Amino acid sequence: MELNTIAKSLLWSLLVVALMAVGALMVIDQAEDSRQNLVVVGTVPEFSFVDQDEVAFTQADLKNKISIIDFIFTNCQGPCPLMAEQMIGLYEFYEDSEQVQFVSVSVDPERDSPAILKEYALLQGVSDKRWKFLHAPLVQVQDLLEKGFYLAADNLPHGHSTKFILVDQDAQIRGYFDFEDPLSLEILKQNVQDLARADG
Amino acid sequence: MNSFRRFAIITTALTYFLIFVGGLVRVSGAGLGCPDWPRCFGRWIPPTNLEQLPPEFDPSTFNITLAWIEYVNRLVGVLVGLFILVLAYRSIRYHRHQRKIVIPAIAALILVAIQGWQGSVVVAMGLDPDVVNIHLYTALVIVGTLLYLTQQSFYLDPQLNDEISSDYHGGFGWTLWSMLILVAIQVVIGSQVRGGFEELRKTLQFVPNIAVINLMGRGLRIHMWLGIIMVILAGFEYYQIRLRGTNASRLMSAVMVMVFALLVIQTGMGLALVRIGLPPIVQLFHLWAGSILLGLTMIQLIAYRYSRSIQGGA
Repeated sequence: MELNTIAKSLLWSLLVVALMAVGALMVIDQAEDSRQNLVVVGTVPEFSFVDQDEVAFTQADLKNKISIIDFIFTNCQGPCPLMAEQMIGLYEFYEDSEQVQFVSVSVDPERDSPAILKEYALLQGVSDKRWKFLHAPLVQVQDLLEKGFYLAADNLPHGHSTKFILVDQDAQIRGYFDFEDPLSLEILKQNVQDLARADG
Repeated sequence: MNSFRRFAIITTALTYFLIFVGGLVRVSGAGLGCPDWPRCFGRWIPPTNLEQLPPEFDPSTFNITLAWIEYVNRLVGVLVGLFILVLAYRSIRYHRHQRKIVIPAIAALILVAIQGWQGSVVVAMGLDPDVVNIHLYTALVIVGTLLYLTQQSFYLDPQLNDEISSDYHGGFGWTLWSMLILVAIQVVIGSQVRGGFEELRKTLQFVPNIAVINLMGRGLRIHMWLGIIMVILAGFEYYQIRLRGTNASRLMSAVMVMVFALLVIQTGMGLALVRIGLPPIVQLFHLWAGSILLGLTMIQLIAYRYSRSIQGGA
């Protein structure tokens, strides 16, 4: 092979590799951007509930945290135990993170007093302040479900939604996730990671 | 060059391109861009906006960019599959009696079918790092069979046969085998390191890359040391070919230089990954260059063995 041919083929390969690199960089950037553009479904409206320690918990407590929210009741025999299992999984997963908090709102406030919620929390293995169990009069809970999270609240407590809701650091709803679908939970984790990164 | 050889080369190059695209899917985090398989969000052409999304899919899981990145990987995969199908057909048709061509062609065809199905497992298992790695290893085996086939097709023509007048001593084979085994080990350790990194990353979401790398431990250290040993081995290869009067073919010499150059580049990229903290583009090229290195060392070994076999027969 002449030197000329070698130089030529080297030049061509370098050109191809450079093109691939530019293309790849663009794709990686796009992918990065697209993840930060997680849809904003809406903003959680003002509310004022109390947690299992009877401390007020309002919309402001959602700010500057990434929140994973669900609606439950302690006496629930249906999907709740399974939901709780997944929620506990997430709670343990984010053990070392101060940025992620968990919020479970009771849809059966008649029965679920803060004291009962506290007992329930202990039963779930909640040992710190990262997981709040909220109590409020039924009308307010219904309101939050329907008008705040766009979820059905017709037949409470049994007809409550089983979605996990991701809320960002500005109290904006960023997605609904299915606790029975491992893929959905995986995407939830990815989104949490993206939100955390976007926040700096 | 006849059209069979040209087609074999194009198929091999396309397969390398597919490995690149697959790596791109991995580093851009688009592996779950399509939650289903083989279709994407229930459609043969992924939705381009939310209105096209079938109602059974949760809109919050849809990301157009990631869906299309993953989908392009599948499209290129199908294209490679078709090329390999045609290659297998032409191998059987024109080289029926050449076992060294027909067998790898059929092997590649079977493997690429398995690989397509395996792609669905990757998605179904939610990108389990081990499953993703097996997907990569299968791709490397496919590219290996294609390289073997291509090279053998060149040896059929005395005009193109580069190894007729080459002459290597037996010790050179040891060097080549060691190199091939080392590259293979490196690819496996490297991808495991990467998988391990992803696992650590999941539990330590808010820690910078560089801190996670410091936690990686033994696998990474072995990977680095083997890399250095390989550069030395490549130098030894040069010594054996140039300074010990070996009559090497032009292919062998050219590939030797490429291997050395790539090893140096790989070391540089590896250091960049550890020092700067895994920029995705460097990850991508580090993996891709690794797969090319594996191919190049295979080419050397195939050439060496072929040369020894005809010298032995003469």
